[in-house]
Amino acid sequence: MFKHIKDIFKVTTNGLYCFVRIIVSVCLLTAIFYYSYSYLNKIFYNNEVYDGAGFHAMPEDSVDIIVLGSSHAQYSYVPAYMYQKTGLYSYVLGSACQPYEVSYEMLKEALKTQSPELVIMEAFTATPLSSTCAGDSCFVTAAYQMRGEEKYNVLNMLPKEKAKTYYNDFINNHNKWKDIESIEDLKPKEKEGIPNNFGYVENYFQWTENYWYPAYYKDSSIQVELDAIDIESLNNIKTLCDSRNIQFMLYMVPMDSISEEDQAYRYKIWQWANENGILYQDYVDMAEEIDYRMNVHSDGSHSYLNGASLITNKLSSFIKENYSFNSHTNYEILEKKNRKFITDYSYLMYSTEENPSIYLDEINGYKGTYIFRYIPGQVMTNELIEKIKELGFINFDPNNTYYAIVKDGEILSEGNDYAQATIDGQELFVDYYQILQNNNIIPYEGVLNIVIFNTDYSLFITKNIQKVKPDWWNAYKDYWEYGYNMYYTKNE
Amino acid sequence: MLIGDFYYEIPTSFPELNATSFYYVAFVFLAFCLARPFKSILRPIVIAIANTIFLYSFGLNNFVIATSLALFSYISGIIVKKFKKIYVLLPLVFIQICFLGLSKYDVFDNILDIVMPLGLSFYTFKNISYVVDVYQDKIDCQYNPLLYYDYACFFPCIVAGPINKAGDFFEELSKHEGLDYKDAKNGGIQLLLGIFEKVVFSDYLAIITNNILNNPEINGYTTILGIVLYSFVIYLDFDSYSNIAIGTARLFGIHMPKNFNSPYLAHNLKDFWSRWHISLSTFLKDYIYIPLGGNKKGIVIKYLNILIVFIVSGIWHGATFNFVIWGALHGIIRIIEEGIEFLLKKIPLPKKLKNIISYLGIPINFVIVTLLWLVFRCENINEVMNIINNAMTLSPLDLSVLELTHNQILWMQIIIVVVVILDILRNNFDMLDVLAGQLFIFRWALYALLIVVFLVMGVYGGSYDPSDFIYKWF
Repeated sequence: MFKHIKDIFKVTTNGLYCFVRIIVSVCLLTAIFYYSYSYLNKIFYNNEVYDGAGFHAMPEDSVDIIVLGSSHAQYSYVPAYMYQKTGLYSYVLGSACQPYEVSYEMLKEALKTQSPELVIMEAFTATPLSSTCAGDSCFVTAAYQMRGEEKYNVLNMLPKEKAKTYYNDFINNHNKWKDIESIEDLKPKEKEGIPNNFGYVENYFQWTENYWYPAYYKDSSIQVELDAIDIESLNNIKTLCDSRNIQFMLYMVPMDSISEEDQAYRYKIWQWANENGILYQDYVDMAEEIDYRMNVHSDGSHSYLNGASLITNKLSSFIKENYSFNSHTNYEILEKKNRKFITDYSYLMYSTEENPSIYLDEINGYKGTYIFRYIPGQVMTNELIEKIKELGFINFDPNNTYYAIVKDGEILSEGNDYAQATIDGQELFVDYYQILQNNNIIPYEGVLNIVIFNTDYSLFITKNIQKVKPDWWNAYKDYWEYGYNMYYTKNE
Repeated sequence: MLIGDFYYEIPTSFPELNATSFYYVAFVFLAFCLARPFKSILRPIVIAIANTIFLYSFGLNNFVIATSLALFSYISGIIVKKFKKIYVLLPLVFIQICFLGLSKYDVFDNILDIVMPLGLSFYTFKNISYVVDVYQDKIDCQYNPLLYYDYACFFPCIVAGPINKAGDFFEELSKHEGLDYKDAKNGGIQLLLGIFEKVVFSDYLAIITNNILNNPEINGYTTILGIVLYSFVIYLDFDSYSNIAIGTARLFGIHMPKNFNSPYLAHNLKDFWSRWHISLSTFLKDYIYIPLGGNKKGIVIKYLNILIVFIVSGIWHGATFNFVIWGALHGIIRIIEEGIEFLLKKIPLPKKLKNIISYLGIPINFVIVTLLWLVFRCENINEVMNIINNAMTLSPLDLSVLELTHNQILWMQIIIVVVVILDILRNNFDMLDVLAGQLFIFRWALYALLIVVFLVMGVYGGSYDPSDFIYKWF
């Protein structure tokens, strides 16, 4: 019997040699396959990854505050302003319509490399308002910012067959070969650096004629229950934070058109927070208190930068009052990025001041570069003329055209026909017909325009001051329509 | 399971072993490791287990039906060996044909809710060929049920052929030779190249072809392009499967006959059918044409037999009337060719002219076959006529309607050129042997290039909807 078994399994030397050769060939083929795949994965990737993916480039154990939530978190919390007020480093881990369960997975992944003192979660997605953005993207967009096991936990929240199509970026995107136009497209994606805004997404103030405070039901008689998954996720996040001695709080961003049902859900979240000893800041309720105005600080849904500054500043005060912790060790790169943001997006550039005279006072102290353009064509008040002259434009005559280029309060060029200057390698020009930066046209409207540049000239904002005829119902007012044309551009 | 950048979801149920899937390759490799390194005594057992697993992966009914028909055929072989009478043979064959026919016409689907089993047409013909060969004493009856099961349900060719002869199979299975490195290596390469051919060439051209032929707004030369591309698609699709099947079988030391031999280089339809789906042509010739008398009973009977064979071929391919028409048209054109050949033999032509006529036959034959593929592709004759009418407008070629990028058009052109060149080379050389004779560095550079091309240009993933093998459902 034993001899028979031995006979069955007897391997000839030649046979064994052949077999080993085949195994080695298979291993070599597999290795070529695997490394080709890994390399190609860096070329064929999803283009729609948010800045949040740069979280992985943050120095380990550097983040003090992690902010989770939907796009409302991304648009309402400015890490640089939190830093300015408290010295704390923050990062916003959010994505469009990000559900609570996804926030939990994101936090789990984040805590592998970070030890924050505080986790703040924006609570929007538990309300029915978030049903307007349901779909695969709620999970997929978040998953694309993640790595490791948690990424696939998020994708597996989708139906199985759909989840499979998103597992591997390369498999999903390899057909982009049809769009490749140059050899540059075949270069691997550069490793992501720390994003400049630490997950914050910019949104700019637009032209407005009026504003209002967010409308919502103060009291709701509707009985609702939070979704079981939301409660489970909140509990999971709390448990995770507790296990790591991390504070956890919730906040809600003001938004318009909150129905009675939405209101009932908001109160349920508040109730859960109270029951679980979690602090909760509801800025819907506090909108008037912080003077957060729709159409000025928000587009009705997402906060503008000026609105975000209000919320972040309020949050910073709240944190200082209610928590006591220090920042992690100073990180030069994080300091630099935060300071640059503050400089670039100084309140001056995004001031919501509606009175042009007061606004011009603010311009007076601006350290950066701006272009001034004036064409006679509208009524100019004496006050406004005086303010313009206080900018140093002593030759300004309201009956004549006037152009000027100013840096740090110093007029580098002025004239009635044009102004032209080369500053910091930038060629600036303004005349009756156009405003140019390095021969690129800067858009404007109307006859009185101020173009303000940030420190590295990668951004500019055009402010257009127009006096308009008031409507009949407020004809008694004599007011200026202080419209902002927000043009945002980056130098290539 | 995360392996580096690649995430793999471990299946919760047994996955289907589609020939172009990762599971199939892994399955074949595992079976090979168990079957080949050791003395070949284990080989039949491993093949039987592999057959079972393979069939089961496509559903229990596939396993049950294939195994039941194999058992029926096995018993039939014993019966006809004992009772060598035609009236014993014919009912046994007829039963199998009836089962095939009823399945093709969805009778079982309508009554018992059993979908036509995978590859039924192929393994039914295999079973029939075995029984007839035993009856004719061409081969010995196989009394070992395990060996017969290995043959009848041999997994590499059960889905879409080739239809291999039992005698050759049993002879090779009974050999106890050790592992031949070159043979196994070539088998593996052929398997992988078959997958490459399907996923990179065939499926890609199929997308463009379907976009053209399924769009009634497209006409003229663009439609003609679609018709021509379909010829390539069906060839590449079937050839790729055959390569996968033959390559897999070779890994197990079973040498299957070539199923395609550069068919579009055929000079006429007779030549075409000696190059296209060779195993089916051989079956039809050996088990229908010759038993009916072949060309031995006069010219009228010969032409009638040709027509019958092609009609049977048409019916075998599909259950709708257009397949019958397709088969009949092939038969009629074949008969016309016979007539023309007869006439040409009577006329004394210079050899050079004969050669020119012969080579002119290649594009002419390609056009005939391509047009006939239309009948094969469409669901009814109306659809065929619509496409032809669209083509007859002869409006200029306009690829912009397909919304293809420059790269996609270029890739389509490259595929066509590569396929034509390879076919010309394959007509004259054994390309696997040619490849084996190259330097190590060249061969591995080529493998690496093919892997990259497969990864980038292959039709798979969420952005594509890859097609099944066309012949899978016959």
